[in-house]
Amino acid sequence: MLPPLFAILNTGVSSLQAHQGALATTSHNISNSSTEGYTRQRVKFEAQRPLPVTPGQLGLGVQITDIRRMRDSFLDGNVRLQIGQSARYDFTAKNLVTLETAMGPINGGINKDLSNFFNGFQTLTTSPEDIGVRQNVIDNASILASSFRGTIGSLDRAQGGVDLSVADAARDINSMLDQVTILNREIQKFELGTDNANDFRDQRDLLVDNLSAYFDMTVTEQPSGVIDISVNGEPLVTALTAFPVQVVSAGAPPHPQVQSSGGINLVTSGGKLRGFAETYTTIDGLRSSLDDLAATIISEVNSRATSGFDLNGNAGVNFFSGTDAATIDVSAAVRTDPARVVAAGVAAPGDNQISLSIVALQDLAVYPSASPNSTLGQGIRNIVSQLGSQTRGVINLSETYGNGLKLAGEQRQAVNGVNMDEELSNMIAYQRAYEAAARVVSVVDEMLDTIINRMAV
Amino acid sequence: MPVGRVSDQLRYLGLVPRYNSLLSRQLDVQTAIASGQRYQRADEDPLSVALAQRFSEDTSRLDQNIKNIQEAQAFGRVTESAVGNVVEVMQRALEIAVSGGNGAKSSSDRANLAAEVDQLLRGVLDQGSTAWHGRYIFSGTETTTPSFAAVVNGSGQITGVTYNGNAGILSTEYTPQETISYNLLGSNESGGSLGIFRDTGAGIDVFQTLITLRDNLLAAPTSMSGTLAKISDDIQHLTGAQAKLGGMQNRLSFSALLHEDQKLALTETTSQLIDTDIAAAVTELAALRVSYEAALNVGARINEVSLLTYLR
Repeated sequence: MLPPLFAILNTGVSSLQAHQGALATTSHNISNSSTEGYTRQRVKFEAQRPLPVTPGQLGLGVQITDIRRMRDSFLDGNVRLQIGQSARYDFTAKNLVTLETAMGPINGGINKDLSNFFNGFQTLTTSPEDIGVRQNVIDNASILASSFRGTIGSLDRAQGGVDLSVADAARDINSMLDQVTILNREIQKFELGTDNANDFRDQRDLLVDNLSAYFDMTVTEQPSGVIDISVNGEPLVTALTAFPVQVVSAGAPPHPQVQSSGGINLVTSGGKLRGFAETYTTIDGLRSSLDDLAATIISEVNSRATSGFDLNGNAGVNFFSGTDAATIDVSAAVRTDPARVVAAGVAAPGDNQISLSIVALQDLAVYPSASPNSTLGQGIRNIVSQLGSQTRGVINLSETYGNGLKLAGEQRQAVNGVNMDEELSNMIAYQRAYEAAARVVSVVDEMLDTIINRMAV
Repeated sequence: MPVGRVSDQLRYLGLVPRYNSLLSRQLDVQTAIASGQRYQRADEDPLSVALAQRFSEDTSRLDQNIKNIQEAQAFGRVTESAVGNVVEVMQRALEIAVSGGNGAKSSSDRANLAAEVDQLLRGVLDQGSTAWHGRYIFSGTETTTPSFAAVVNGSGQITGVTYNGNAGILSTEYTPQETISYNLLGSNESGGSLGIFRDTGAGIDVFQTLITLRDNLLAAPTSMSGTLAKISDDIQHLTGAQAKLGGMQNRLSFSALLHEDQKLALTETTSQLIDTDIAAAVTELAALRVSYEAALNVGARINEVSLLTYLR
């Protein structure tokens, strides 16, 4: 049995419609080639259900059965893993570099000021009666104390910067969690039928990518298309409900921490939250080391000063005031009267036993924060050196995961990225198919014209 | 890594990190050239930076030790000068003693010689209270007090000399962890192993020797043999102190030279560790610039060809 002409006409029309739809998808892809998170889409053509005839089947044209995103969830997982680690080490590295800067230039800082402090006392050993030399001792000591306080101030500012980052992170996370629930709702609604909510899914995937910069998450997709997100077993999104995170001061010493609404710390092995915690740990360690160093200088110098005599033969007073790196200063009594600087072990103006003893302090292993104890100079050098080594290691990891992220991103782009040449090729193919289908319709039209208008009646 | 498909984002934007990397490296090299330092932070080479910091600290300490040595040497030179002057005085006293012991001298001649000895005594007293930079060099650590004071009778004649100093030692670090004492005491009557003008252990008292000589000259002619022996002992004692001072000066000079050599070595090593090798850095910068230009060129060429170019 021959197919009726109208059936052929319908076949042509189905092709016109299908390729028009395909061209629309191509146009969509081209339009979004620069859109962050966009996944290229492909139409799936299928032959329409044929008409059984004798003999065989009679084709009835083409239809679009699916417009799907070209996406690989394995690659997504890999990218998110790399995003988390990269964000963690990137944040930590930038902050450690800031902390290194806070410790002063490599040829200056506390190390040099400590050296000058001892040199001041060295000069005092040769001129203990000289008020100018005594003033120089006070000036050098003031610079050292100021250097300690300045470094602690820089650490405080760096810590304040991290505090702000934590608060910003919590706001950003909550905003994204809200957006995920909105998109969950849209996707659930859209996909109740047979349609794919491709663009909504792209937006949601981008949000999940961005969330993975903060922590490692468990993302579970439900049959309805919604996703649940949890971190460390704590739900952050359940279908259409978001559980906002909060900033809580916790730990010892306390620092701002991003916690779930249930009070669970959301730090995981990857992500910026881990970077925040690591930066706080480094700042605390540096502050503790500097405090120990300053406290050692204060107690060692003061114990010597108070066992001696000043230029006027009076019993020695404390040279330094304060108890740690944040409070160390030259004592008010000494600062206002250089004669109160204690150089003598006996009440004689030319005696320099105490200043010699303070000079000798630079060779004594009195700094307790190292194992075994070290000299004060070794102590500050170790602090700088350890920070440098730690920073080097973190920068290396940051670069490693940065490269890993780049590679994973390239792999994902190879699957879901738009290639203009490819789209233009598809466009030509669809255009030609459309033209051919139009030609079929014209031919059928001519055939109908022949039958209707030109056959003899 | 075989990618297969190359998306437009990858094609256009994939090169941007490479551009940034090359620019960043150029900036690092430019900073190294401008600052003269290969490293700006410890993380760039923790070991080299730690070593450089230690060497810098050692250099600073050697610098300070050299200053201490210069101060001690200057102090020692003033001491040497004072002791030398006293030696000359005592040699003149020896001549006077020999001359005055001659029985042919009239009482008037002897009185004149006694008057000269009295002046010599006052001169020695002045030398005994020599000050340098406001410090009385023979007073031990009582450096703000004149070392000796004359005891005079009603007619203004010096009848004795008291020591106002103490037994304090002035010392300073001349090499790391080592100190040297650089003063000599005017008298060791308060303690100490050596007194220049008065040494209780050696039985030396330059002032008393001169007072005795003066008084002997004023008195009836008598034998000067005891006084001559005392003066000779005093001169020997003083020249012994000069030798000690000379030895200290030599020791300090040798240490200063050693420190200068050590400083030079430390400075060279530090420079090798952290200073920028300008020639190498400029070459590296030129190479990076070529790489950057090549990357931009390649990027532009890759991106200028597309199917779009050939479609009507």
